Amino acid sequence: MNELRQPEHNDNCLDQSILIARRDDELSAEEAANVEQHLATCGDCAADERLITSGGSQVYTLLSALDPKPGTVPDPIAALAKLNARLKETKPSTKSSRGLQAVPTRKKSSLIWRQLRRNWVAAVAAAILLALLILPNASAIADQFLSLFRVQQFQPVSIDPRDFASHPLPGIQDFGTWQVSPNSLKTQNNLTKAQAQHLLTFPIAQPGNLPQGLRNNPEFAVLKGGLLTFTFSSAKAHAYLVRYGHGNMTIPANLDGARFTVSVTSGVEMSFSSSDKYFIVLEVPSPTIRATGSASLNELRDFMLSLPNLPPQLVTQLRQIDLNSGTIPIPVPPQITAQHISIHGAAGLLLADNTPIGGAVVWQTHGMIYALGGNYGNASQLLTTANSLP
Amino acid sequence: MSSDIRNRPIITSTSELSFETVFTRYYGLVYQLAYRYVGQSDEADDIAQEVFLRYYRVPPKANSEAEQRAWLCRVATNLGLNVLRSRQRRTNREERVSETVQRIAPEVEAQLNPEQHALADEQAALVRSILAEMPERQQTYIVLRSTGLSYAEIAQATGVATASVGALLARAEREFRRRYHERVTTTGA
Repeated sequence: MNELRQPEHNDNCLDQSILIARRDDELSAEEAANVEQHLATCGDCAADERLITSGGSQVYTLLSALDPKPGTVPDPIAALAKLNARLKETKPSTKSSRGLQAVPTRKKSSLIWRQLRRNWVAAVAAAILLALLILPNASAIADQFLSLFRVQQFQPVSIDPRDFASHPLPGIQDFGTWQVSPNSLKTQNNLTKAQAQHLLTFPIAQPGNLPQGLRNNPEFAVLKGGLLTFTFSSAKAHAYLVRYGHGNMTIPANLDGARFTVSVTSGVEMSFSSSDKYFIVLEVPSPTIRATGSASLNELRDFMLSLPNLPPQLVTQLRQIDLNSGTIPIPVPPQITAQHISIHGAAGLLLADNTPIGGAVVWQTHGMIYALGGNYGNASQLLTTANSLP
Repeated sequence: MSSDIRNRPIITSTSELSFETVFTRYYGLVYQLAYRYVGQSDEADDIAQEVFLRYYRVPPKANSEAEQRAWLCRVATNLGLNVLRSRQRRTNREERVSETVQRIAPEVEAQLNPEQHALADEQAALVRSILAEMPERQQTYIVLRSTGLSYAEIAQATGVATASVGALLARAEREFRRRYHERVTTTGA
């Protein structure tokens, strides 16, 4: 293919660049088929392939040590506000937007799904966190010290990004600090199914039916579980309120130092991809959130829902969710449609874009959360794949 | 371009992406990439801000969102490497590693207990120092790949042919592993 690809064994054998491209799913279908055919009959190349895969896994696992710690990445909306302030300071400008040239929808959606794949750990944590912070009021247990919340189902909650343009949604870092248990929330990539299974406490359920054109030979990755403890800080909360002009707002005394623990068990990600298509299946035991300190989840929720500048419609929707049901609110922007569906009798959500960009299905059953989706296939295909999980 | 994004799909084949959309969509990626190089929140944020400031002032001529993303990563990489070069000029390698550990420490202190803190920082410092010893091009290939860029995007960001990326990655990964095993064997880590 180029001057750098020197054969290692003989003219028929595969060089490392081909094997590494195979590992990264960067070969065309024809190239991939030829490579597979060769690997099936050449022990040397098959050994090289295993070395490349395990070596790559080691390299990228080590590099993941350089990732920012959970909860430390600045909120993009706040970062944008910071940049806007900087622009205003330097030079007034009438430019309010920049344009990109049109690109095919599938190409763009592929990028989104690739990014989602990298960020799904953060997405899960964010969803749990959102629930933790803005759990709705539940009058039935208002007087109880609610200590445990287990994720059992999902409820779409409409949001409008414009509501947060001038008043960004507060981030967890504005109200306290996180502690993460040792070696938890690390992702181990490029695993075989057997390797992944060895790290899990539940059997991996692989879909029997995939959207047309995808081969059922996914790349496995495991997110190691662990404990995340959030400790509320009245000082940080007060600083946040002062920043937004509400420094006189009262913070309940018992919230200061209150601890809330999110327990996450190791989960698996299966990714099926090609050059511009992406499809992922996630399986993770339902996380639990426990109040372990001086304040209940109710008290934390009530305070968070009383924060200034939260869109009233969002607060109303959240208050309508029954906390006892273990429901996680799923934010749904206007361009996404959400539909309640049933997978093997379990309630779930189908999320789809108005454009043919793809979608996702998420549901919970028998203590497990399942989610799948990508830029490949329509809603019907997504449901077929979901129902094909054993 | 209208400022009303309420009814507009995130992506269509005919619409443009506003600066705000590009920022909110890719800030996390750019920040993560910068952080991988510099290992400090404030510097990573500074780099990300600078990347988008340059984008805003002189938008790149990109024919696709993939090219746009590659441009953002290229600028973030260049700025990240600039920071590393500045550090290198200030101190020798041993001092730099020590400094990195010390400077990262307060940031993660609130999240990890002392033992975790030490292990995580030791690992990050080791990986970062190995990268710093490698040729810049090689570290760029594997850092970009580790943040999820495709071969075509890596090619766009580094100015090489897409067909060469596999071979270049293979060399870079091999070099990284060699240096890592050398370090581990030498130090008994």
